[in-house]
Amino acid sequence: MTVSLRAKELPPVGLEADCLTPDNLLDRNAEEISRIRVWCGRRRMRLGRFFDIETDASGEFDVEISGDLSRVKRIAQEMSTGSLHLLGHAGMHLGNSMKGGKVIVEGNVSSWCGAEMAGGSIEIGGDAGHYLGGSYRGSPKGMTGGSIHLRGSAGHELGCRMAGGEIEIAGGCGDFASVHQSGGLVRVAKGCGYRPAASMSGGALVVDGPAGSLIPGARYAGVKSDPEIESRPLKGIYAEFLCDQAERTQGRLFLLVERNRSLLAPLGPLD
Amino acid sequence: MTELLLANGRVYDPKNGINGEIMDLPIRAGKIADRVSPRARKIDLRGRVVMPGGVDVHSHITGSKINAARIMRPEDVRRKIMPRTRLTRSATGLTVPNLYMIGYTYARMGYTTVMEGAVPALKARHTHEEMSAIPIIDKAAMILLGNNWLMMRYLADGEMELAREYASWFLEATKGYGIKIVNPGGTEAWGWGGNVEGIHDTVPHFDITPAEIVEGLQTINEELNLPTSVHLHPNGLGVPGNFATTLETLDLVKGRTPSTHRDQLLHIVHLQFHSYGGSSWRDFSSQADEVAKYLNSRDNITADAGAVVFGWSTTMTADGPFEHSLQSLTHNKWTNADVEAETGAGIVPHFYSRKNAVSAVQWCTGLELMLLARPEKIYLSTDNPNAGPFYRYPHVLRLLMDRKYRESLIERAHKVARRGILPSIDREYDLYEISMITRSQTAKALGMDDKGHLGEGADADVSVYDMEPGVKKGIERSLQNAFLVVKGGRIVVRDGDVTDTPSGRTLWTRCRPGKERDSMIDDLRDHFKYYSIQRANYAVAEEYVAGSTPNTPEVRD
Amino acid sequence: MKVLRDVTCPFCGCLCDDIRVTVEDGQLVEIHNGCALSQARFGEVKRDDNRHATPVIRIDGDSRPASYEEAMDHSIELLNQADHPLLYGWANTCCEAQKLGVELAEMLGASIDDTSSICHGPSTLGIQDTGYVSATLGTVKNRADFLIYWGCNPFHAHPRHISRYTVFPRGYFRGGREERKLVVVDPRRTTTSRIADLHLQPDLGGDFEVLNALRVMVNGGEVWGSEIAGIPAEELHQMAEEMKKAEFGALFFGLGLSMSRGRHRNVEAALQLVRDLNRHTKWIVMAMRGHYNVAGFNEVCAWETGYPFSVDFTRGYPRYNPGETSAVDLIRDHEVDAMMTVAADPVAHLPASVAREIRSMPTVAIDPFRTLTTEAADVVMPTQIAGIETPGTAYRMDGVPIELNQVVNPPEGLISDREVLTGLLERQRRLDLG
Repeated sequence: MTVSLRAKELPPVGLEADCLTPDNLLDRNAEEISRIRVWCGRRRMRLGRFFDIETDASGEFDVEISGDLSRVKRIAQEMSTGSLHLLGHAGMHLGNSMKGGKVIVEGNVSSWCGAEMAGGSIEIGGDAGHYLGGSYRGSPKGMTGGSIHLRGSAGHELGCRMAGGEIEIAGGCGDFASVHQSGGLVRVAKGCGYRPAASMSGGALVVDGPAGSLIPGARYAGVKSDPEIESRPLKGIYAEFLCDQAERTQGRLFLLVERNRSLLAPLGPLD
Repeated sequence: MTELLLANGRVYDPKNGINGEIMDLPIRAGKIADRVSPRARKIDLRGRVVMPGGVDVHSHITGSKINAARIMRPEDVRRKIMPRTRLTRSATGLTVPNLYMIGYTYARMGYTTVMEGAVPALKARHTHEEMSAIPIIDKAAMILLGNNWLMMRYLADGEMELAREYASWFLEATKGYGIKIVNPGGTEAWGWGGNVEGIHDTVPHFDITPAEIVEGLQTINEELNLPTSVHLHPNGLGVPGNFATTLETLDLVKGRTPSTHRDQLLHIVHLQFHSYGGSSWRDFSSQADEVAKYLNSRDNITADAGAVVFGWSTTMTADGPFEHSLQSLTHNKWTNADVEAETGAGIVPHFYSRKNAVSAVQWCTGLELMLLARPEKIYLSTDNPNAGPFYRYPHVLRLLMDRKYRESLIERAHKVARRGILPSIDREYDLYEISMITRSQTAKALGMDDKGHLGEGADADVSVYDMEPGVKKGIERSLQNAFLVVKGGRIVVRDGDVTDTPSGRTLWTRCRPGKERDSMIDDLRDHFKYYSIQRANYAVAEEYVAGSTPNTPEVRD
Repeated sequence: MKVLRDVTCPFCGCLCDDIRVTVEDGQLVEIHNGCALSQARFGEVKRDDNRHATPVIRIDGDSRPASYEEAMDHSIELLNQADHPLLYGWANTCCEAQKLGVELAEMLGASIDDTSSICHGPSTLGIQDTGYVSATLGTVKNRADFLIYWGCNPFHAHPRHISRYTVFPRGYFRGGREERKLVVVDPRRTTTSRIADLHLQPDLGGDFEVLNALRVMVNGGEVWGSEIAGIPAEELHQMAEEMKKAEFGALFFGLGLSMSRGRHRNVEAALQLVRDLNRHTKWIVMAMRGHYNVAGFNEVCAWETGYPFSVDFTRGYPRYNPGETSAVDLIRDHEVDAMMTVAADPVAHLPASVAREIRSMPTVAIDPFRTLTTEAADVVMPTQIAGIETPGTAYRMDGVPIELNQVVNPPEGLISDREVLTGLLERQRRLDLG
């Protein structure tokens, strides 16, 4: 069965729709679903007010949502099963605290997408905001499992406090990638901003494009050719850095040598 | 005049020797009365257990370090949420609850009076701002004096009269109830990044030892005839083998007699943290049996357990150096708050894991103390939230009352729990003893004559539970959600829900100035050059203290 | 003429409480002991051009005076029409008013935030990651032999900080200037850096690198790079060694850290450095809080809700996520559709795009003075100046609570923030019940 929702006019202050998960929507008919509550600021309103809802016997996904949902927050929050497909953009906290299942977003996502997720997968066709696969304030850990694939670019603090799982980005990202990361693997294809791997204590960050800077706490650990990192075989010549020397343990930062020549100049020719 | 008749309940009122008698409780004008008129509202409590409202002898609920812990731990705040209702404010926080979570949760468990364990004088105003906003429960505060510069100077110089004047002025200035000592001399040493080890070590830059601080303040306390004794958190908290320091400390006051209507002249807080054997983390063990034996043998000492509950806690204490060493071990986030010329504080989140050997030993230690010492001597506490959050009190009480349940948790814990003496202890508390360690004895140790009992003239603080003597099933749930709670004659909880939120009172001690008062003030005026605020702005105005209830002790000759 | 002693100055986070105020017939004559900022703050009462005499209601461009009752009725109506109201400001009023504000926000299901989000909010985020190894200001006076001012200029923003609390005063263990070392870390040359024993000038925006390098050095490691933010690594090595040799070090930081690139990560690095230094010797760190009671709002908000600022009550319980629930983000992302500002001037101080948004939504302004915010508001309620015309409580930058005083009579007809908020609460309660 597929539940299809099509966004109508959304309210100016936006919506919080943590009810939009396969867990919540499957095995309910359109009428029941339309009566589920969403938050519009401080008002609770019926989902049916903002979405046309249909249920279909067939369909690739359990839940399909069309429309521009860039002002709708918390879609797929704590999702544990099933599949959810968004044809447009999504707002903050998409798929946060997910435990399982699959989310595909064609458009962009806002900040805290996949924050503190423990399992499942998120695929994003566009760009992401800050804290992709990150953590919430004060939490010791962010993402602990599952995977995130981003076709566009991410903002700051990618993989903040990541402890497990995998994030792969086809574009670039902002400052402080992998800050406080303690496990898992982050890969950024097009480069990253300043200060990657600050306070990193474990796991790995692979940057296949130019990095904006190296923190003073980075310690060069040699050149690695076609390395296997967190069980993933990579192709290329990388300079490995143990980061962050300011912490008691370090994670590993891999910079693709050919895209980071000026940053790596102090080391002399590496390839 | 509101009248209430609580009828047919099974009452446990140890102070008045009532052990499960079926009786009526007449309530009038906020007090237990001898009788009420036929117009009184009658509530039938047939089949239910009735106790005086709970009196928590030691808990950290308000003020500077508690708020600093809330600010530091948003991840804890969001783990327990109760949305607002028509009647109640929204309540948050698992181990660092907000003011409303504190008031409502204590009330729902049937507690009606809570003693705040440790307040820094310079920030006492903060404590009172918070206390005034906590709904329902009555409160009081113990004020830290054991690392106070002027006090240490007076004691070092043998100026006992001036020291006494300072203490009495101090309690009024801070609107405090009694004197608290935490790691005497050690928190001052932490002002330089150090600590003290032995009770006869000299405090750096101060010509005094921890032993002299304890002896001196204990003497002053009794001379002032304060309602409660000194509350003491001895040196060496948390250190393997520290039971020796603890007993050595308690020996200091052997043979001395307390001044008034209480038995003790020293109350040791969270004794569990001070009852360890071994010499390192590897041979870390419980010495609860020896400590309990000692406690049982001493007339003038009481203690509260500080029992560990597995799960998350937030450690917060004026023992600044201890928190630094805890942080060095666990690498959790750490907040420190030294207070000029007076004291300090540290905060570190902590997880007690049942599968961790050290946590398991600590867990055993607290329970052993409670099972081996007499209920006259050791009272319930979890040093909230250091060893566990206060809303787990019913869980601890269940462990004391139900041996089989205790055994099942011993089975689930690290194997070290099975190697100690806890598995061999058969004792189960009955309801009379439970009422002692949470009501009658704690109120007595605190010198609160109108609390902790249901005799005529007592405050009408009553808690009623869906329990029957001898029935083990559902103990924890019943104690967590009282069937009925009356506070000052008003019904505040029904079926585990808060139904009324009157403001509580704050009890404090106002001593009469002695003849050396002016002399002491002269010294104080001079001493204030070491502060960063003006002396005129130090004292807390009574306006800050909601339901201000001062009590003036009779001067002892 | 009467001389009032030990008066508390309601301007900056120093919260000096030794001001001497001379008054006559309830009017200010002069003040002593206060710095220039203090003089200006108290001096406001002598001006007659900067206050509204009565509340004002503006409808369709027409401004008219109104009674407080009318203004409060109108305000409650305005706030209740919104899907998501925001109550903002708070840093320049007393705790008693702040507490009422939180209660009103909860009742309304609104969001509430203070000026932290444009000031030391990032510092609180750093604390929530790492903790805060700190102390009261008197401990610095009594013990410190090594002072660092990082990314701040106290001579301008906290004029008496250095003379009252840190470098110049004599403490119990410490003589005065000659017994203390002063280091200033600031890309700019400032009045404060001029008296420093050492002035480090990292490249603009390079503070994080300097802090990270110092951490590595303090822990005995080697850093990447021979120059850190334009400073030779060798100089930093020396500084790290001296920091470890201090008997009691105190690091004060300001917006140079919290508002330059990196923000809360800059602050976190400073907090981590001080924490790490405690393995070797005694160090504390302190945020130079700006407004005199911004720390007070964090305290009040934390004990009332569990969270220090940026609290969202839309679901009937507090939620906290700066970056989302903070004022600038809420306004810029169009998530709030009405705003009440108390004792702050967001139209003047927040980014221009945000100020535009504020002007385009219904707003209420409660403030002693005429400001850009009051002049753009639909309802204005002028109030007594907290700490000068009405008493209360405030928290100093180090968490010490001090009473605020009333030293002069308020202008005829004006009431206090507390009274306005009490009136608003009464109306909201009636609305909820009815």
